[in-house]
Amino acid sequence: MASEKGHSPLDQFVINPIIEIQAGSADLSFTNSSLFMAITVGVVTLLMLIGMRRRALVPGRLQSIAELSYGFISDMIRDNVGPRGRVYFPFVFTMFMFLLMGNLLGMIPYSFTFTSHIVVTFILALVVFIGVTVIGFAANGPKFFKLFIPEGAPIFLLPLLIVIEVISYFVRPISLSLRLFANMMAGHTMLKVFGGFVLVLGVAGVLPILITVALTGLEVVVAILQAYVFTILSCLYLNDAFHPGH
Amino acid sequence: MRKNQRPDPLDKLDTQLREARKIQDQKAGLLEPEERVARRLAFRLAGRAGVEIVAGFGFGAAVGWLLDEWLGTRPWLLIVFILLGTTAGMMNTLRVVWKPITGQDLPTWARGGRLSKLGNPETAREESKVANVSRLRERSSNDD
Repeated sequence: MASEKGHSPLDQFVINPIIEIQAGSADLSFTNSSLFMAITVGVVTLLMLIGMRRRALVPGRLQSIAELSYGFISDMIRDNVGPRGRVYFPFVFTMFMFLLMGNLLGMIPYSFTFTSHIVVTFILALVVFIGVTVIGFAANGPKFFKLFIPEGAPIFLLPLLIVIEVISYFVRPISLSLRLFANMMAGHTMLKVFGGFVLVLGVAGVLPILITVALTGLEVVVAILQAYVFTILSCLYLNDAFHPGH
Repeated sequence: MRKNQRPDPLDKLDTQLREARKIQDQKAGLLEPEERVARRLAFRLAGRAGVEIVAGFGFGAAVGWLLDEWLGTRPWLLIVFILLGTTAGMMNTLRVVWKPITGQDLPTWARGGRLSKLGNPETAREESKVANVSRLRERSSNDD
């Protein structure tokens, strides 16, 4: 595909409006990105509803998937946030399933990977960041500022360290979103680049095909891993909100 | 939301779930091999480390640029905040990588307020898992 008319490996990230909606100066069009988010929500909802319909003692495949994902996130919250974090299970679980399914659906040829756009991941990270900050203040009051005061530092270094701590707190949503976005975009670009070599190289194109197969496997791992990393880091930030400077 | 005000139903639910899981896992003989846990940890560390520095640099540059624009002090705040942001990114990286690589704790002042007693909960959790697995193995071999 990449060999026709100079198709760029980055074409796969282009946003196309499907239904154009203009609200004043804001462009609220329903795009291919929105379409795949809607599909993701639909698939996750169906998976959970159908998976939990039978409630068999010995679970079938779908029920296993539903139960395993529940147990995975439930354990993650218990180990990283503690019993008090259980209130936030619905949010964490929804976010994890949304990202996981979005990443995995993006692996299907001709589909669109909405997590490869930093707007999407950054807004998600911002929700986590603002939520955690609000929860932190609600749970600890002014004691929450202890988060920024390192223990056992020499007095003359303290002003500098506090500034650095504050900055490193604000860097969190950026590194959180950047990690997911960069991983997804880099992986998908690489797949397209090697895919483009196949036609150009003729018979020797077998090599890039082999590489593409290997990369596809790697990308599935990355898709799952990055959804996991995003979620576990959110849990750790939540943990900080409950236990600043203990 | 003080600790004592939180209703204990959640605590109870937690212990109940924990016990139910324990019984289930024992029945199924599910134990995680140490190697797999260790490998997963290494994978994640590699993914996290670099991004932190880039994000720190980017955030510092953005804040410095905006402040300069606002206060008309170009380029001084840009320079200062790039340095501070990169430092913050490096500190974040060190927090992730320090213990698994050196096997020692970071000095307290470098851990930030949050992790002072817990260490890095992420790595701590994986470590405790490894320890648990070997402990369980020992126990089961002693029982035989």
